[in-house]
Amino acid sequence: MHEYSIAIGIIDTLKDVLKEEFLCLNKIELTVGSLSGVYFEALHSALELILESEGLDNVTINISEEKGLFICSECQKATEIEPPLFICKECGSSRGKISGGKKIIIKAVEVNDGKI
Amino acid sequence: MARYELMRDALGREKQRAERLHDFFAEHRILVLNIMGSPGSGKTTLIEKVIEKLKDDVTISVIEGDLATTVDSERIEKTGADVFQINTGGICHLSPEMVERAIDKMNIRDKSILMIENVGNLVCPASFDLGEDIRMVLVSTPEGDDKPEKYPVMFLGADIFVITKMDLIEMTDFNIDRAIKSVQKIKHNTEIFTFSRDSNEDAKRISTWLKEEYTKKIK
Repeated sequence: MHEYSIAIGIIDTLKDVLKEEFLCLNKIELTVGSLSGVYFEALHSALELILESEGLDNVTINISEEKGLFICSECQKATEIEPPLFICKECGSSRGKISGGKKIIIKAVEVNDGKI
Repeated sequence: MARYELMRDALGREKQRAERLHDFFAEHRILVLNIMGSPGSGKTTLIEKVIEKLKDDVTISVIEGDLATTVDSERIEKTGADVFQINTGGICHLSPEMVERAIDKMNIRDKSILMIENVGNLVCPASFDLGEDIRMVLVSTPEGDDKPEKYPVMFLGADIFVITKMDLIEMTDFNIDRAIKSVQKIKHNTEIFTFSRDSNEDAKRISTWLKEEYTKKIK
């Protein structure tokens, strides 16, 4: 349940960026990599729990997935990775590079009124 | 209603701290290992055996991460190495912040090796860079050869994969080939070792590899 640590980091970042507007927070949009090791539901629950403790009960949390890509060294194609298989879906080679899918990004937020 | 596009890394703060640690360890020429594996996979035993092999040549310090107790740090103390115990309370992984606080209290020598034993867990520690040069992941034979397939994110970052408790393999259905192949499918250049607590040769092989990495780091 390291999602709780990550959720704390997200809330701290939002407090930093939004300052007093944090209390008007309405929506959080996140992009989570498919190879980041984060369980979406757990991150969602952890964020809800922390937001509630801050007195924010009605914040919409949208989490979208960013798939990791396998850039094949043999056929040069980029295909989506589906763990536990880290291979090229085109030619089956395991030689290649992984691109994306590892980060957890706070994409955007919406607040009820005011500006940063 | 106002919308702000942020595009911020949620682990940005942790990554900044990790960068500070990388800089600190580079400046002081300290080779750092982040040792991960399930509870009971043999992390502490492997550390003990490597210290025995290397202690005459290299100064080794250890950070022990556990939810509770000082059982592991007491074991390491007996080897003569400097050890610092972090008790995380309930937290399932070490964070760069915890390591920063630990090294402030330790007296780690320049040109040395720091072994960080993470909290026993094949999931959570994978997400946190602790400033390490090398990620070592252990799987013991009784745990099963399917662990790399079940916990791929952990193996995605592994530089060394060690199959431990080889002396128990006869009592299990652990298939070494399957485990190695699954690890190589996730990351083809992972170094692979096998380890039994009573094998002098096994400890020697891992220690020799580490000594080479250490020599590269202090150059």
